[in-house]
Parts: sequence; C-alpha cells; structure tokens
Amino acid sequence: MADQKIILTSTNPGGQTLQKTLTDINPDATNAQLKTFGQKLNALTNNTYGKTDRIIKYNCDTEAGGGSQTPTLQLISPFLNDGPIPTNTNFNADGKRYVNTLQIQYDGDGQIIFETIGGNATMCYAVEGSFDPSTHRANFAFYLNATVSGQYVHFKIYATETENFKAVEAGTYQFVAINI
Amino acid sequence: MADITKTKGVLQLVAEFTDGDDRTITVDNPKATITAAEINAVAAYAKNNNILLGDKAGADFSRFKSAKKIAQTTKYLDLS
Repeated sequence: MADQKIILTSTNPGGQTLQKTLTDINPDATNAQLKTFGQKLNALTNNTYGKTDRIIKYNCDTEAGGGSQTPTLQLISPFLNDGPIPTNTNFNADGKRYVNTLQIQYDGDGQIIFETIGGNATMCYAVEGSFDPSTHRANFAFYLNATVSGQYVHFKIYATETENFKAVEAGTYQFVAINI
Repeated sequence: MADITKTKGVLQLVAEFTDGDDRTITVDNPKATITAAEINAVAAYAKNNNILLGDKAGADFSRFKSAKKIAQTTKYLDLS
C-alpha cells in the first residue's frame, strides 16, 4: 500500500516559511480535495497559505542497495519513449535493489503515472521530496530488483491528462506534477 | 544581555477515527477569533471527502474530539 502524506507550506506573520506534514492521507483523495483541505486548515491560522504538496511513496519490500556501484543520474531529455532503462547504469547482480534517480522535467498540473510494460526485472519507485514548480523538475528514485546484470524494465511514463507520451511535443514533457 | 521572552501560539486538534484511535494535529499561529464552528467545518470537510485515515488500520476519520489553543511562553535566561 502506498504511504501518502501532504506538506502544507505557509508563511507566518513574521515572514518565516512553515511546513506542516500530515501523514496517513487517503490515497483516493483527489489533488483538488487535498488542496482544499490544506487551505481550510490553514484558514484557522494567521499564516498565509502557500501550497499543498502531495507526497507518494511506494513501499519497497527490501532496502535499496548501495553497494559499490552507484547508478548515475539519468535526465530524461529528450524523452526516451518507452524504451528500457539504459544498461550503462551499472546495476549489480547480487539480487539487491539499486537506486537510480531519474529527474523528470514537466509542465502543468495533474499526476504522473509510471507503467511497467515489459522487461525481465521489476521495479518500484518513489517521488523524492516534491515537485518544484519553479524549476519544473521532480526526482523519482527507482528501485530496480535485478538478479543478473543487464536485466531491465520497460516502462512508460505519462500524465493523466495526456496518456500517450508520444503525443507530446518533442523536447517538452507535459507531465504533470503532483504539486497541488 | 537581558532575558528574552517569546510567545508562540498553537492550535492542537485531536482527530478521532472510527476504530477509536486518535491522532493530534498541531498548527501554528491560530487566529484569535477562531470558533468551534470553523474547526468543525474543517472536520466536516475532512470527513465528507475522506481526507484522513487512521494510522493503525486505515480507519475513517470521525471528528475533531478536542481543540486547544495553547500559548507557549519561553523565557530565555541571560546567563552572562
């Protein structure tokens, strides 16, 4: 089960930025509902509302390995279509999961979906922190379960509002952020 | 250097869930004019939209069973 929380960001009368984390958020709640809740909760205070971020983390049943080989940061630029994770990321072959981080550039609002469509390994992923609307970037940590070198996962990334990523204009990511 | 006194206000809400569990939510700088009706309205929204889940068994949120405005005063003593 995914563990979800929201982070309510506001500014107190002294100009200080405050962040309030609320855990055990219903994963079925919509972004709009969570934003409204954040605004209503903040309205009980003298703080100026900033934003509500939704954080989703999928629980992996093993720890990410670290080992002696650290996969490199992969910036998805340009879009890799639905191809495999590059094999030059040095995933080791000792049955452990290794973390890779993909940085995704996006634009707009909504939700990003990762869909596994093939390959010979499995993976799970987590959003690292939250989406940053000022830089249009988000970091996803990948946990790849590999037992043999060269194993890979085919996956597709798309936004809930534009399912077919190939329809996106070249050079842009119209992924939408879970920043609400 | 003289002693320094700082005061901070917090609103402490105890959220109750249908399995009997509860959880405390604290927010800083509550409004001086805040009312029970305003707090209950937030609870109603959370309940009607299933925002919060209990942390033990994912039970549904019932209500805020208590709300406290707490003024925390801290005096920093000058030890010089």
